[in-house]
Amino acid sequence: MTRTVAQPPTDRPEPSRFVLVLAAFAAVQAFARTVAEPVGADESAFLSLLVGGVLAAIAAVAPRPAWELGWTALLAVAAIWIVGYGPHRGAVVTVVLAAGLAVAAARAGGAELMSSPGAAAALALGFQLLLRCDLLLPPLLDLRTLVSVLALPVAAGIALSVLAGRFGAPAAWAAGVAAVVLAPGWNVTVTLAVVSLAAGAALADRGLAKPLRALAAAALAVPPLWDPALGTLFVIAALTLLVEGRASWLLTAAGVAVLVFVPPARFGRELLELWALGPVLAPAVLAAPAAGRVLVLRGAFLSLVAAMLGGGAEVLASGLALAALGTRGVAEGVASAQRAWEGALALAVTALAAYPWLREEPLAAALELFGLGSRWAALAAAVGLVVALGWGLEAGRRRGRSWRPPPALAAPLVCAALALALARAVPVSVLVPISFDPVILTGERAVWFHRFAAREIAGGIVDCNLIHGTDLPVGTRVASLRLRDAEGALVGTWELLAGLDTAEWAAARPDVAGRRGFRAPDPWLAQIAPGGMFFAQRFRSRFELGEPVTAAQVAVRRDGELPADVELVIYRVELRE
Amino acid sequence: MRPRLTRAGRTSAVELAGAAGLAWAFHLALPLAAEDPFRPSLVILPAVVAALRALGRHAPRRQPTRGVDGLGEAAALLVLVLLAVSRHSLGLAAADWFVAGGLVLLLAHRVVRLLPCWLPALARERVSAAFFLLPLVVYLALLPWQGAERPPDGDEPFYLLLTHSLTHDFDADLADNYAGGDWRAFMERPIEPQPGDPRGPRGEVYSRHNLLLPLVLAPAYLAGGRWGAMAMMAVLTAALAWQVLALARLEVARRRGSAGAALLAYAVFAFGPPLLLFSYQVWIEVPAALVVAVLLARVRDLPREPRARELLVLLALLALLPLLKLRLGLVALPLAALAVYRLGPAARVKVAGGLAAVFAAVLVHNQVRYGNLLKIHSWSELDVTAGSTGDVARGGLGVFYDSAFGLFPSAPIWALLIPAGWLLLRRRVRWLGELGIVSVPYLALVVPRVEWYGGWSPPFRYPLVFLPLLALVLVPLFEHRRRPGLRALIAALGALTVVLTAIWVVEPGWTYNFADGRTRLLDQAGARLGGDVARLFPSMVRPRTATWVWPLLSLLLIPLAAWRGRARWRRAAGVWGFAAVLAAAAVVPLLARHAPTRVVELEDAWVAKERGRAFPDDWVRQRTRFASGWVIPPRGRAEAPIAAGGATARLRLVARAVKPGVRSRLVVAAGAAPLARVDVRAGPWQEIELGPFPWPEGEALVLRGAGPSFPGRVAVDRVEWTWE
Repeated sequence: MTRTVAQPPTDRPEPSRFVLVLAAFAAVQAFARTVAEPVGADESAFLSLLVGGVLAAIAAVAPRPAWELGWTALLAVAAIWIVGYGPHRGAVVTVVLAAGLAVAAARAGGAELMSSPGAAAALALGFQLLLRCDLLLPPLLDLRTLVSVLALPVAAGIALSVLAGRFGAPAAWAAGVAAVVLAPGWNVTVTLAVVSLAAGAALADRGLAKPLRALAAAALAVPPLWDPALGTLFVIAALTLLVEGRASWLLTAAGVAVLVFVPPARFGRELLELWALGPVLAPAVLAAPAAGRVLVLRGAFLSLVAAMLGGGAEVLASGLALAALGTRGVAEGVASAQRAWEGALALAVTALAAYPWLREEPLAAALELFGLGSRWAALAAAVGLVVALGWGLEAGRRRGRSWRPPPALAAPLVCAALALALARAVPVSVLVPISFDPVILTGERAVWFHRFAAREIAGGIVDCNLIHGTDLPVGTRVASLRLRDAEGALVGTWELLAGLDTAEWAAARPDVAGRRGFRAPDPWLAQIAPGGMFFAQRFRSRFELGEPVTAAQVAVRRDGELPADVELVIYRVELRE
Repeated sequence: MRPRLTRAGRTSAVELAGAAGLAWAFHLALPLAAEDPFRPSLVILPAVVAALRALGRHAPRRQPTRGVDGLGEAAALLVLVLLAVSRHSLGLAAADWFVAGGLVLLLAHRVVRLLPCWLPALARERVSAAFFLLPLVVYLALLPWQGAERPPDGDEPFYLLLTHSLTHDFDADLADNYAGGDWRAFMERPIEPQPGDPRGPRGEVYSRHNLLLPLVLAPAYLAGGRWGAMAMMAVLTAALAWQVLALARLEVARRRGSAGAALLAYAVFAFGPPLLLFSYQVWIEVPAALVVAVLLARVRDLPREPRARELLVLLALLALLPLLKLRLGLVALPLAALAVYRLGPAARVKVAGGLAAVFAAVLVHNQVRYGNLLKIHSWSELDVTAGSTGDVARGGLGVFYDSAFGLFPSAPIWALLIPAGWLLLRRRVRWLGELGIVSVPYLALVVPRVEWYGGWSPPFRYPLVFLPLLALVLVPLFEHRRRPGLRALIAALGALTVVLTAIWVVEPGWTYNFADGRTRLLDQAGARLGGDVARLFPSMVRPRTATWVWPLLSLLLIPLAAWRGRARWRRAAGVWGFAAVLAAAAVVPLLARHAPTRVVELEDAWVAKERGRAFPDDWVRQRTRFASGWVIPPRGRAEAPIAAGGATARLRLVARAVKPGVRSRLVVAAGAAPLARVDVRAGPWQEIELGPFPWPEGEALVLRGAGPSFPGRVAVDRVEWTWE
């Protein structure tokens, strides 16, 4: 039995690894080109790109002997071959790839990876493909896609390794992870935020070659060209790393000045909730050592200003990353807890942003998954699990007599707490899980029903979408769900409304999404559409009855008033106590 | 003085007690329905985790990456358990397969991490009990899932019914048990007496299976019913694995080789198919293999003049084999011959006489009790000359190469036997001769049989009794495991085996294949790809080019790959192995779809069919005697995608009408274009030559039953193609 002890990461992985990646890509492509079902072929072709890209990242990151590369490749290919096409197959492949990448990163030293530009760029690329898998839809070879898929993560990875050189790998890791889950992925805003900070760090390095410093200076000119207000804040954040002493406070004043030129768009509770994302993602900033507190304060201030400017959560990236850089030298217990907290959040965000879930706001969905839907609950949990626990362990270590808890204990404790939260938040009480092949309700066949042993029902879900339902006005009743008791008496009803509970399967296709008056609820699951050009969507409608009723039959009836060609596809009906 | 528990022992005891409590709490509070397939597995999960932790804690060597591994495994386990519990709520209706597969792989990971930690223990005088407990924990962990997914099948229900009768009626008469439906105690499908079961003068119905295995299982069955019997089988299987490690260690010690080689051979034997598949099933093969392994160890250490007690034990062990199943007498006799060869003159007479007495007693008992000297269905079963050379070649290769029933396709890691065999031959290792002496008589009996594959059972059933010997063959090879070529080979075959093992465990039904030449896994692949995948793999039931190409190629290429490779490739050898597997996976679908079609077997899953049925029925006895086909009724239809190998094609249709005297006609078409109308007669299979026809690229072959004026059904065996 050979021992598999991880070797230090290398910048030059053996070529055989990339032969393996090519072989895996070829295996999925060959499957895609021969598989009998056309939709299955389109999805397989999409998955081949995802598999090839993420495996390439693992190949570059994994330390010897890179078993995780072989196993991830084999399991992903086996899943594509064996599991029937559709969201389930996508979910299995995504989970396998994310797990493989996480194992490779963990074995390669986790945060220490940031010290190597090649490994950092590869890791950034791998997560970009998982978090932004929409980029793998055609057209693939246009400039915008190539920049998004390759240039942005590579630039971000190199920038993080520059920051690791100045502030240490753990701080750069914290900054990188906090930034990448905001958008999610490496979009232009987040990448510019990290690159500008790296440029500031490079300019501050007097020993750096002049051409490189000139390049860094030139890089600082880009953010304002991209977005004058936000870009200026990015440059201010970068210059904070460069300018020292009292003069540096002038930069803070410059931040305020931005608000003079760009009137604030966000105030009050909304602003505070967005701003609170910072300590939720990097709670260690609240325990930063004295040397880093200035960076934390400036980062917090700049992120507040950025949040006031409006836009999505990614506007916090620069300030948050700056604050995270201030955690260098934080107590070991806090650092360990922070890594576990951030890692768990990053994995959850990756899973929710990836195919087939494709959540619009995966960070909020991830917090909700852990039962932390309220921003203040999330903040309390982050502070409690990272800062309080970390400090507690540190205190225990200093004062303990018979037993001194190791700081590394923080990580498993945080994981255990999150596991409990996850177990508590995931619904397990399902009374009648009604699984079946999709049922299509048409004008001719308008009813689907299912009988079961009489039970108390309080609510349920319906997973469905519409065919030819693009022109239905929002709020049109498309179907009704009826619960009857054993004698056939009606005991509960629920109506499915177009645009609110369900919508056209091709809701994400540009011509449908851009149609005047068209509206769709947040999708529940996505699937590669026939032709492979966009994601088909299915929607989950949840219903709660005012009071529980005793029912023995559930039926879904397509509304008779609908145009004849409108069809309702039901994927799943579930009743809950 | 009472022995005191060490600190580690106390921790393990506390953990195991806590796990037992947790398991009870899970039993009471797990939010899963009673019939949910995950429920029993999740209930025993705390005990499995605690047992594995205890085995790690007491290992002589600590795992180098214990913390990271532990955290990763805990996180993965948690996610999988949550998925299992909440899969309905999350809408992951098809997640069963994924969750179960994930749990199996997690268990495999833990075993792979644990085994090297126990390597130093092989230097001790006795083989540690950990090597018994580890496989036992694994078998018991998998048992609830496999047992729930696969009710007793093949000969299993009959052994269980016999056990039921022994424990409840205290007799071997099954007439009342069949009449009373006692099979309900362990399965839902009713069973009836098997053909060839002996009958008593007062209407007694006995089983043609022997009583020894049911007697062994009886206490466990009494305590836990079917699950108790299966747990007992797991205990016997773990004991077998333990004994094989003891033998392998002796082999290593004799050759002054590395203990790692013995451990690797043990791992392949204990944790891979086919043993893993049989670990919980009620067949006589595992206990027989255990007896053979114990006998082998005894025979090897036999002094020329043993003491009476040693001789008695030897005789008792030899007697167990025919008592388990009479055909195993053909294993006992050569083993006895080996023993006799090693003994002095006085002991020889005692052993020979004792064995003769045992055989005579068995025969007399059979004749008196059942009126059947050998308790067999027909004497022709014993006629070793009945099979032709072709039958012997077919069965002999089939037990190793057949896609449905062979050792190598079900567990490719065993293909290492090929270079291992070459190595032993080159070294002229003495016990290779022993292997031959012990196995040839038995194989000469079973290999030419019509059901050489072992009937309705998981693969490699009949020769399983020799699997311990085959594991020993691997030991010398594994001493060279650091060679780059061999390392790549181990990685490739090992990875493939792990994936297949996960599939077999998650879907135990896929290890049972009909004897019509089809394989469930290849059927699935063919149906998914819409191409004839099966033709690329060997089948001895339905011989084709691949049937002979695979053995020839593997005999040449695998040894070559094992011994080649430069030293500087060693670091990346594992990666090359994985790459080779994936490259092969890329080639298979392309060949399946684009290699010119030569034969279309209509019963295959990749052929789309509307109406009709398989011919003959799946459950017909001695299925391999019949050419398999598909019955196309009037207006029935079969459509097969064709990979053209030329512009024109000649077709040979092998078919016959099902019913004599009824007009039966088939329409042969290339896509929508009819090519020929063929009238088919009843009687023997007719070979009907058709064509040549111009065959457009991409057109499918369509066979249709003609309209109402031809009401007869047509059975089509196959369509053969010649391209021009």
